[in-house]
Amino acid sequence: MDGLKELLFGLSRACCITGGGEASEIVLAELARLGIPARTDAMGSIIAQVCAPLPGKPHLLLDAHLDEIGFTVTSIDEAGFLHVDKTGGPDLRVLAGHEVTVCGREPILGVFCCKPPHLTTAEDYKQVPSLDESAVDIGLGHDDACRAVSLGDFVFLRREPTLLEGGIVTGKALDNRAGVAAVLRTLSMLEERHCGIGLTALFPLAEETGERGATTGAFAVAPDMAIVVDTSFALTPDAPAEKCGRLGQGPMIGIAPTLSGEVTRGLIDTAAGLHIPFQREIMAGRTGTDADVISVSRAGVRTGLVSVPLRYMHTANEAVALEDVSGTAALIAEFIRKTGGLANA
Amino acid sequence: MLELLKELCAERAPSGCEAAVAQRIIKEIGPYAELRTDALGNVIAFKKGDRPAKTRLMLCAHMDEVGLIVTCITGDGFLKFAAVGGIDPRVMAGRRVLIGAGGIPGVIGMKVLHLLEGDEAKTAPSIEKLYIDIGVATRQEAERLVSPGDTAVFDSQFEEFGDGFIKARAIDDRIGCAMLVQMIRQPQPFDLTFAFTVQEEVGSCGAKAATFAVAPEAAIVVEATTAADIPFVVEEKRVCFVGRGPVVSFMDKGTVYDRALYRLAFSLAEQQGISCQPKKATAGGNDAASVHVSREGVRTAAVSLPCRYLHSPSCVIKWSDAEETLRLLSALSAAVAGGGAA
Repeated sequence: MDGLKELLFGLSRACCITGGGEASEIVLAELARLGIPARTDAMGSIIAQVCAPLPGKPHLLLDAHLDEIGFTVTSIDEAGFLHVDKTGGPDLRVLAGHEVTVCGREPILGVFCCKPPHLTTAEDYKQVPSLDESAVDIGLGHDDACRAVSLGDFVFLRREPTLLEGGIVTGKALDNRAGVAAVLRTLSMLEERHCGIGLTALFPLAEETGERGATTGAFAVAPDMAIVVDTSFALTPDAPAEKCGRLGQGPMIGIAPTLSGEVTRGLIDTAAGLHIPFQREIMAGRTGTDADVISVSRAGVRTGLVSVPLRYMHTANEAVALEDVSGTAALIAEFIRKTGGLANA
Repeated sequence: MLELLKELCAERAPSGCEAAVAQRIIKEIGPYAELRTDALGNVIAFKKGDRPAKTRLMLCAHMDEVGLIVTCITGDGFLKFAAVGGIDPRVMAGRRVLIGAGGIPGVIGMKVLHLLEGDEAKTAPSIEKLYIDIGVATRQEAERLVSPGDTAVFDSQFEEFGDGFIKARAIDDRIGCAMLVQMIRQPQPFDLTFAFTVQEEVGSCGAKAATFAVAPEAAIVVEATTAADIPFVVEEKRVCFVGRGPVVSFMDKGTVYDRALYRLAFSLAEQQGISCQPKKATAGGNDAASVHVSREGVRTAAVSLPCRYLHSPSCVIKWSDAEETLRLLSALSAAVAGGGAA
């Protein structure tokens, strides 16, 4: 677990929506440290060739989306407040008084406005603020605000990651920096990157806005198989147990009509063989992840899904267990080794 | 004074747990005043001025902040809680908190967005639907770290931003405390009594006892007050404006203020070129509610700093307002203590 917490903290802190950001730099730096060549495509997605495709061996794509939910500045009013629209699906129930980072000329602090309790009624307390009635206060007048921020600039929920008891990391953007950290850890676990198969890692952007980075990235890589690494719901007292995994009980292996039964069984057998805790996540149709677009890329790709259980998705309180991140990495690394050892065409 | 405000805001002190702030204040003012701490934890300080006062004047600011209190620990190790002071549940959703003397971190949890059904998605969770998650899985593990009755505050750092703005938790009313400490540290023309009160947010309880003990003839309550100068609030509901200086109240839910003191504040401000604005609403309340009806009555004024997003983790003020407010407080207290409001 050495260094995993620091990696995850750094990724959580960094901001990244469609177009790129500091999180891209952290991933590129880690890939460089591992000696893995990487490039950034037209969408800002990072494509890293871990092991070149080998004749007669499958080419596996590992996907973990790098973008996070957030907002975009749509206007600056005469008093210098920013008006925003959402990018992806942030949980609007948390906005009142929330701190944000506005990625203007420089990253600056902002606060989502809220009316004080002295001016609100009990009825008001039940209303979720709409973005049309929200604004971000950056403490600047109109002219200074226009110099500091441009229309189209991104706005992120602001939260420093921290460790709770029991090895639980909480912070913003753990959907999907936990998945990204798991894939980076997988790559570091493959000894000298002798996989026996072709292996490419894809860290696409724009998953939260329609899986667009994975659409173009998968087309470019043209793999035979893929494993998508994302996050999924972890149980809380108010959630239906049948729709959730549990923190600390290992990676959630996806089972769905749209996922490859062969890859799914391979993941389950690998986890059982390694004696690592794992959970099953049952979905009845598509998965709501990059797997949905990768599986139908070109003439089709046999795709599996592994998710890190996560609480409070799409808020800055997202929480994952470090042991689940490392368990996910161990599972995928072993799957790769086993697939390489099979030596099939 | 900015450094002092930063340090005071760093102390975690919801109503009933003010000791850490009291100790910090005592450390600052000890060399400059005669001090005592009363049965409730109020810190009362007598500051000798160049001359005895003609009117016995008390200035007060409260040390406590709004927060949360753990009411029970569930079998799965989650914490149910109630609000200490008036907090909109919508600013609790999605926040991180620090619990108890040890500052144990927890996150305020609620049902995840994607699994909401029917009207749940359109309704902000009430406090009963929220809970604190400290990352444990059982009651036993939770009990090693926290107990029912522990208080918690929002985890929010003191930060400067924008054009001389500050964002922090507890600016209500650590800014009042900071300004009074500053007055105590400086020479004053007349004797003054200062009360740093407890339990304001849960009914101005400390101020009742402090005012009885001090028995002033006049009082100035120093607070942070709600500025709603933000988008989507109509002009007449904006209450007061950040950047336009101290706010003087004529009336709120607890007090109809002494009209002569109210007018005196504005005339002094005008004479001395201090910005000053009226509080353009009768919303809210403060320690004046207890102070002005103490014993046979006390002539009371409220002078406050305009503050956005009051009772949230992200209170926002403009520093220049603090400097102007301090100037007005100095002028007003000298005038009143010198017999000018008689």
